[in-house]
Amino acid sequence: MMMILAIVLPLLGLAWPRRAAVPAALGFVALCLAGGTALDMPWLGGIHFSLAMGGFGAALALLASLSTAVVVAVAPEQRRRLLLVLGAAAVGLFLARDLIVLYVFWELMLIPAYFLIGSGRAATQFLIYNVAGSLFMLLGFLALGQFAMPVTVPASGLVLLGLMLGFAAKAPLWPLHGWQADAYTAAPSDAAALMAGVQSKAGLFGFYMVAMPALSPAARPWLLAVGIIAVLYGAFAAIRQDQVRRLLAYSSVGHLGLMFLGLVSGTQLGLDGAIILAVAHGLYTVALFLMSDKFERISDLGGLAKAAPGMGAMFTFTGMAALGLPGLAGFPGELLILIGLWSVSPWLAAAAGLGVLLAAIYMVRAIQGVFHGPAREGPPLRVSWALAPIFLLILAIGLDPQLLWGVAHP
Amino acid sequence: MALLAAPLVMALVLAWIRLPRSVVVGLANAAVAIAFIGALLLRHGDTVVGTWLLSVPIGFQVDTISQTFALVTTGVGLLIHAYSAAYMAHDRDLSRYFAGLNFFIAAMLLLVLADGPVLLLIGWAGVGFASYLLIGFWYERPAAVAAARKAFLINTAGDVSLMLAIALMVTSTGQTTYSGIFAGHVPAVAVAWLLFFAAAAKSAQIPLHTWLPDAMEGPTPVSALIHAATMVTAGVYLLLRFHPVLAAAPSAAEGIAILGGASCLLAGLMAIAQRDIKRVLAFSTMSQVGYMFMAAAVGLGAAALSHVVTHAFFKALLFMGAGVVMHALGGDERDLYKMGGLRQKLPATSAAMGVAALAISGFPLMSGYFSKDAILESLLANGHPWLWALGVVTAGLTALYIFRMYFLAFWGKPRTQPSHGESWLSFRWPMAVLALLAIVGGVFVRPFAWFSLTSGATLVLGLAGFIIAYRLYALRGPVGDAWLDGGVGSLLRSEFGFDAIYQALIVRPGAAIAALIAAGDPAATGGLATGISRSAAAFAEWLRGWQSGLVRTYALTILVGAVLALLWVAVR
Amino acid sequence: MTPYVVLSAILFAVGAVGLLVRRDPLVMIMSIEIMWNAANLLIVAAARFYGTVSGQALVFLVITLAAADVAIGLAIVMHVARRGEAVDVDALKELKG
Repeated sequence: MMMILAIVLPLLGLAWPRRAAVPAALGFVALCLAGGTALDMPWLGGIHFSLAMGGFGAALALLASLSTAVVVAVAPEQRRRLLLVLGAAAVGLFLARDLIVLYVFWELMLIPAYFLIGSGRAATQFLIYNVAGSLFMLLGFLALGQFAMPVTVPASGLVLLGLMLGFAAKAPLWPLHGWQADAYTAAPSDAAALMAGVQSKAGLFGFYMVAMPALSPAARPWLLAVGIIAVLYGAFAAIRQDQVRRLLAYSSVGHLGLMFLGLVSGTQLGLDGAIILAVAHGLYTVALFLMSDKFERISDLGGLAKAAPGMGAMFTFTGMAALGLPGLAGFPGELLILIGLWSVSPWLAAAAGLGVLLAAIYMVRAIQGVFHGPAREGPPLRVSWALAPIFLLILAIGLDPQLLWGVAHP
Repeated sequence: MALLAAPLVMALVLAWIRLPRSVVVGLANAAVAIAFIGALLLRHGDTVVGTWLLSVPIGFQVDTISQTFALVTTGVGLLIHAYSAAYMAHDRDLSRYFAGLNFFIAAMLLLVLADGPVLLLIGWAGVGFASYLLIGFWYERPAAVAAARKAFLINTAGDVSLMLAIALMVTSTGQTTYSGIFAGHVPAVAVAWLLFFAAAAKSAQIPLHTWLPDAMEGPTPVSALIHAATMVTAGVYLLLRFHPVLAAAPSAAEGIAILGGASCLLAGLMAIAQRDIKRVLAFSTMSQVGYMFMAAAVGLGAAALSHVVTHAFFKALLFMGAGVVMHALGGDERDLYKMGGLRQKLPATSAAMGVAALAISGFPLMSGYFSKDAILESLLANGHPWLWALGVVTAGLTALYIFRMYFLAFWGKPRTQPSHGESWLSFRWPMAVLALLAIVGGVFVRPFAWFSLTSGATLVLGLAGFIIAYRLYALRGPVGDAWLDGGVGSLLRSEFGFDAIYQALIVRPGAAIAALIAAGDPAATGGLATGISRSAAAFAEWLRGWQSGLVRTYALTILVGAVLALLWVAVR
Repeated sequence: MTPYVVLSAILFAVGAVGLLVRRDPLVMIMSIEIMWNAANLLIVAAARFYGTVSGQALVFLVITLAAADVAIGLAIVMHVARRGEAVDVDALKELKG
């Protein structure tokens, strides 16, 4: 019941855009109270309307719910409706425990996302990638023959490929990431925040629930290869970006590759690490995008620390979390994934470590490029109080990751 | 034990709450003082507070090594905090400065008191972050920004190496505390080298040393605390803490010691050619840490630890003195060529610097004499003659570069008139305390020996260095550097070309790869959607060709289709 | 029955070739008529041969349809002719694309 509320309450905000953050926040509260519950009603044919609050999905649903509330609080009124729908669909997706229910929410997220990106070229590109991917994914679902999640039927060969096309297009995972940089730049930063922080995890979640449980050993090396290429490719590309949001987009490609590596490593530690990193990444990505609202190109910025010290401090704080500074949220996940990868192949772990170093390079470049240097006058930039829960969680998860454990592994 | 949390609390307070300047100074100093008392009261043993994640506990381990480091960090830290009150008195951002400094102390304490490598890594990264904040404190200066970035990135490389070492240790033993890891079996050679890279990054040893000279862009008290007394010794701590692993991998340990010795010698050489007073001290630090690495790598922990302590005393003192000099010349003047004759206007500083210089050169019965000779004598006694030789030669170089610096700054004719004096009380008393410790600190040294073959050798070479420095610089000033104008000089001045090598081997290829990927990506992968839509359109265009508008073609097509359909029916 | 099938086939082929080869729409319509009637012939012959009446009923339907088809075709030809240009099927390409 609480789960339904968690999905529906934010939608009430559609009627009151001015105070939309309130129903969204209430939805989050409902979700917090929903721990451990499940819902399963036979629906149509072999399809059940099945939701459950537990495990990886629970952590991601909480992330989605909280992020929606925060983003809606910060966003201008005209976009709030679309953001609410996107957020509610995301929560529903993470609670879904039936493939068709998952698919419904999956496609539901596309519509507000398209309009949020601005209905232009970037949006069309996003649409093509995602619709094409999800069509193959649907074929994969049907080929599996089982609708209940987590899936116990092995997915191999063509079926796996079809599924992967869908998951990889959404996450996005290299090499289907082409839509992301343009989309996050064309979209306003609050939309990008929700998309990058929350929507991206849908792909990961789908993989975790559908393809992973019975993954064939033959497929593993290919998937590992995709993951590590994603990590390095994304990081290298990010180093050269001048536009802040493009930099964050490529950074996401890298981080999602790392999470994917954790899932595919076949080790419990890698898996746990991926879960923690997914939540952490969601948090700091939302924060970074929201703070980057007024930042276009690094080369046009610089020296803003004097004019906006609070923003400088929080951006540095969040940026450090993003690069995996120990003590902040990004670190525990990355460490566990590295340890997990080491037992698969030390070289893989070393390459992932290189990815961490590269992340430091582009993140420091971004922070310093925007805030340091000869002081210049800028518009007074303030960090909204709505972001406070996110910052607190970043610190809390970094210092005591065990907190997240209680949620993800009750 | 809980007292040690004071600097952390204070850092948060100072970062967020606006307070009047004197209150800020008072609170910051008080926090460190409280921590110092806490360090004094530490009792040896282990404590576990909670679980960080899975089987990694939040626990603390107090033994000689950690308590010594804690005392040095908080003790010398306190003196530097006091000194900062004067040095940074005119700075706008006093709160941010002291917040950073306190945070550093907190992170360093976490580092040395952790009971396992994961918690150590958190402290380790914390001091790296603090270093970034403080080197780049004057963030409006491009040089400081660049230096902070360089330091942080090299540090991060070290962090990654440490993470990989942890991965290796955890996967081979399944343990996450020191006691657990040492009880198990790890691939010692691999772990040792990974640990070395982490330590070398943090302690500015070859090959990861290039950030340290640039780090002098930060405020001088920062250089004193972080880049002389504490953070750079974190690498030594790492080697000391993991001595069982190093003992299990003698070849790796030997290799590490050799690299430490190389740092020792080469840094000493580079120090002689520097014009910037702080860069002399930076290379000096690198060189002295090389001594510590040599000892720690081969298991001579007590000697290494002793040198950590004594080095903290005289190096912090040297930096403080340098700070007073810079301050006196009104505006951060760091060029030795512009100094000179300062002992008239700055007699106390001159005396203190003289004491420190003597100590670092190993003047008999001063702290440096005992600690350096402890290391060298132990090296010789344990069968490392080549390392011993490196150390002895460097001792002579030490005297040379440090007295070159001293004479250029304090003797000869004044080349710039000082505009300020040294009358600040909070300049004087910390320096006085350190000078005293630099003189008598020898009592802390283990193993303790009054005299040995080594002391004789270092004495002779040290004296030689002193005399050469005197002859070249005491009365003649910068002219004495004429011998550096040749090939040797340019090699030293370019710091053996390390920066250039790294630029060519790492930075440029990396940038090229990044440029390639970033430029090619929109076309390669973004092109996928365009490709799909273009091919769909092309197919439609082709299909369009069938609609020729010619009736007869349509008729023919219908006929052919009908025939084929009939044939198909007939065949079935 | 065979002669009727053969005749029907020949007639149908004549009509088909005429449709494909000739360019004058009137001749094409006449060719179509020949094809219709070839089919009619076959249906009637088959009906007589197999003794069912339904074939003959079907032929009535076909004749009606043929007439309708010719009517529309001639109407189109008349409109084209009224435009004043020579009536050539290859030139009528407005439906291209």
